[in-house]
Amino acid sequence: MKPFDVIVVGGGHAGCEAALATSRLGCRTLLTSIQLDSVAWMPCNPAVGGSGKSQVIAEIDALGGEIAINAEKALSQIRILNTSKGLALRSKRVQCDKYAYSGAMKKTLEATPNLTLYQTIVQKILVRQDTCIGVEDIYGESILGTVVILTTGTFLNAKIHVGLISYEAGRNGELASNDLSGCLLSLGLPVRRFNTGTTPRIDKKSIDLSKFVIQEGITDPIHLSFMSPPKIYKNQLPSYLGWTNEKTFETTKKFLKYQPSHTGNMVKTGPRNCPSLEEKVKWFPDRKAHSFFLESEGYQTDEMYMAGMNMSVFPSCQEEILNTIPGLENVIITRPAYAIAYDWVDPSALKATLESKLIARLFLAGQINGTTGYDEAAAQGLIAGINAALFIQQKPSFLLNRYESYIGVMIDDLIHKDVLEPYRITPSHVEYRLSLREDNADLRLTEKGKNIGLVTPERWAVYQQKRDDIEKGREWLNSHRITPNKEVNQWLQNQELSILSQDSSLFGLLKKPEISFWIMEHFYPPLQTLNEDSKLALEIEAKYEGYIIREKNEIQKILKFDQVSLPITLFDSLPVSLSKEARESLLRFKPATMAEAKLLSGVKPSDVLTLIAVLHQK
Amino acid sequence: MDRSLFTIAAPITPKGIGAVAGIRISGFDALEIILSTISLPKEKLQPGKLIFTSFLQEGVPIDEITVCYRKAPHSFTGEDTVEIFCHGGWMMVNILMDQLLEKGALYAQPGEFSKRAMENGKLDLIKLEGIQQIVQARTKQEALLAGNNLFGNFQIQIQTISERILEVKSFIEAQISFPMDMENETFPLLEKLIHIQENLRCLLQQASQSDQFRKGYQTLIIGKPNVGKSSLFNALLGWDRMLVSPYPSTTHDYVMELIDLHGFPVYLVDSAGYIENGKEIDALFNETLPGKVQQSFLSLFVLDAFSYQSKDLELIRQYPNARKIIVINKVDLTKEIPIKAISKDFPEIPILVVSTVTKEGLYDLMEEVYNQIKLVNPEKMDYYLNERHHFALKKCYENFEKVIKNIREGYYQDMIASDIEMASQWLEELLGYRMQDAAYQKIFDTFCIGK
Repeated sequence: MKPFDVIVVGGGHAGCEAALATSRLGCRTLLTSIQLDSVAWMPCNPAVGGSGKSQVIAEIDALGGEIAINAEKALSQIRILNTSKGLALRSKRVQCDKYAYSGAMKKTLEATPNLTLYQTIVQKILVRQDTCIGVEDIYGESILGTVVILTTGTFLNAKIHVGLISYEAGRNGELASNDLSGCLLSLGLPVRRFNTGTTPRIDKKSIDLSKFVIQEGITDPIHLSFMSPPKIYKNQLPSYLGWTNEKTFETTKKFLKYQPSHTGNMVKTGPRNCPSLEEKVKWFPDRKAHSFFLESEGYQTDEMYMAGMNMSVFPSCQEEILNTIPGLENVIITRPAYAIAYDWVDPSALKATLESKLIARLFLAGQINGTTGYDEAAAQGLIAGINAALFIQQKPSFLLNRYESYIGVMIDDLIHKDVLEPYRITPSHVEYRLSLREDNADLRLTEKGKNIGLVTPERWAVYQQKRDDIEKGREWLNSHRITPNKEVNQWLQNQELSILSQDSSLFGLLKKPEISFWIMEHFYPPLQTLNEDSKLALEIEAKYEGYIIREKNEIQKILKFDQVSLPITLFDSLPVSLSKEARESLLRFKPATMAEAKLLSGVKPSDVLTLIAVLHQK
Repeated sequence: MDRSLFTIAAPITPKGIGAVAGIRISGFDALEIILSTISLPKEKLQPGKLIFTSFLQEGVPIDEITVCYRKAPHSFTGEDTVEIFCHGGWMMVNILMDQLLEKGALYAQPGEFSKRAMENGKLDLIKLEGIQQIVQARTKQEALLAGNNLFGNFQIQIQTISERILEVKSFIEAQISFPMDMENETFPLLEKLIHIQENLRCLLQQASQSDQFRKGYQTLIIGKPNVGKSSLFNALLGWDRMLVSPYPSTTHDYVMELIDLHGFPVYLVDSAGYIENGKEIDALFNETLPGKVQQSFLSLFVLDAFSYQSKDLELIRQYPNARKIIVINKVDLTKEIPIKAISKDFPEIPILVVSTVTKEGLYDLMEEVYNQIKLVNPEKMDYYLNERHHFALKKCYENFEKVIKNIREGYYQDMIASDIEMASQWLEELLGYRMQDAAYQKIFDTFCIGK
């Protein structure tokens, strides 16, 4: 094989975004996968999005990534979460036909110029003088590449555990990648171990669905990608809500002795936001009933996923546990649940570009960095891909900070905070979440994506349209006033809304919690011509104005600190309360600004605060 | 120069003549420095033991001292520390200090021992402030109150409130971050917030009381010339602070002295006699009087029983809003005391009759001053808070008030979450750390998440 610009190892959600980004940016790219039939596979939940994750998806989409577009192609159900909690934290959640999702992505990969797909098992990273120059595969052949991006997911040294049995496998029925992990360790990368798990798959025909609460997707026009005009998705597959009970609890308890982590076969660190049924029983002994969802795996299959029912006991035990649940008395398990232990690499050894600090030109993205979730993986793949391409084009790196994006928050957390369990992004991680929303990801990031070169002319046109609509709408809402005359108040009363007491602009009226945008359209019909996204943006702008200004001020204060220059005399008398690591880094590199200081390894957020306080005193 | 790498030393007893004086040495080289100035081998200097030895200058003993070595981290600063006690008087301390500086110690800057203690996690801000308050205490009561802070009573109260806030935050965060898991969870949000608000209100009440206590209870003596203000001042003080004479206008300025009144610091202020249309100096004095009355906690309006005229009450009428006591002096000189006439005009103001000559009524007067203090301190003071605490508590309280108001007005939950975050930042200010991470971690202990 001729040398490539970029070699992406792994064809999961991170690998696909990385390979698409580099090849679209003109780099000759190789994507290797252990099994090309299952690129962009959804080995766990057949869904993307959800609280926090949908913001990440919108950001990937805004930058020119693929996940939103691909999910629309395979969509089997769409819902909006957090609608009852306001407008700013709304999150879309999309269930997918997992076969269609993988197939559609494969087609996109194949249709992308500069991109080659190759099925093999990479076993070694080739390194000369602390610089990565390519990989060696299971056939002992070297493939040279200027940059290598590792997106190996859960495949590194992976071991599946069911009951007291364990075997090597990257995913259900697929080969693990064992030698690569040893190679990374020998290169000095901090290799760690996590475990996670998945639920049983059960045959829909064996379930009495009448015992469950049906949950339908929404039927209003909607889109996931900013590129697609909102449309009604017909023929969505419903999910079903069910509950475990006291019998389930007792049966699970009986089988705890067969739980791999109980018998010491596995490490203890799994994700707390995704505990197995066994863990739920142990952690919440007073809670006998836990909810779970049955979700379809696709249109062409009867298999169903059971969200919330991770298990790792023997298959016969799994069956006995499920039989305690009304509607599942005769359930047929098609694939037993399993737990999986895998190696990952501590991301504190990465730069914000996701390039290794130890080995130049080696990037790591996705679950290998200790994260969990397709959305988190895809975002890292995109960022690693963009930076790999920018490196090859000899352009400055692309960094997102935590004040402009969820992706920035995630990467900042990964490289600066200790990853103690598989990392999942949530709004709770995001300080300025009323400003960083799903609906405005394009307004925040599409221009950046255009500068990188990933935004197509079509996407740019859609973005400009929305931006113009918002501007026009803002102008209309501010310039049109309504007077509390009899007619207006009568109409408001008919809508069961409180009457006006004083003259107000439409924008001022829209601030009230109970006033929706269609009321604006009633008072000023031209507003109907705006696209739906801009209407939502305007409504949020009005209702959250005070909050958004507050966040903006705080962000500006922080960014101002980034500009603060560190006088050289500071290093003569560094404050005592700095951590030892921070002190060593600062003395070694003597950064000129606070922004540079923050990027140094060992400098934690608390150290930055200490420096700010000291400089403030002086 | 990074001072933290150096060992520091300074006297820890005040400048002046006394039996014993102390010096503290703290830092990595503390032990080495002291060993180079005493005639003891290292093994003898066991941690926590007081050792009697001699202090040497160029090998010659110059004073008898006791030495106490405390090994890191079991010392005030958390570093290796040596404390020396030599004979008192400033000269010997100076000689010893010179020796220590020569051996490599740096002269500690004001507050540097405490600063190191904080940086080494031996002291938190509230405890440090407590120590400062003890050192500066004016009355026994004040020292005892400040001592409370040392044992963390205030800290514990703040922790309790912060745990309540954490509970609220972790519920809201769980709802926002894991909506599918939380659909059927309920939580008495408003009730919890009102409870937090109530906790904060109690602390604020204590903070106001602390403010007044810290300021002291300034009690101003005013009245016409020659009614016996300075005599009263001296009599209440218990010693002749002011020159008194039978002639009017002997006093021309304000003079202040501190009294410990059942533990409360009372600043008694004597003033010049009030003369309408008097000389230039009287006019000057008259100008300052309203301000002085306003900043005083209490004013004692002194009348002369012997020469009483009803127009003497004019001065009292000028200050309708001041907290005041009417004192009728010189009751030893007359049997006709106009108490009825006065109380008819001022039914709400306590009137006391005294004689600075026979001392009659003085005890009752002080008890009345004490009564007035108790009126503004209805609750027992459990904590002694400073301005910093007061400000942060007030901000926190106001913000929670807003949170509750916004909930009642139907604001969205994502907005409420932001409001609560704002409010709790003021408590974090007191605690010295951020709660957001803790709230996220708490989610998994409280709610079963996982779909």
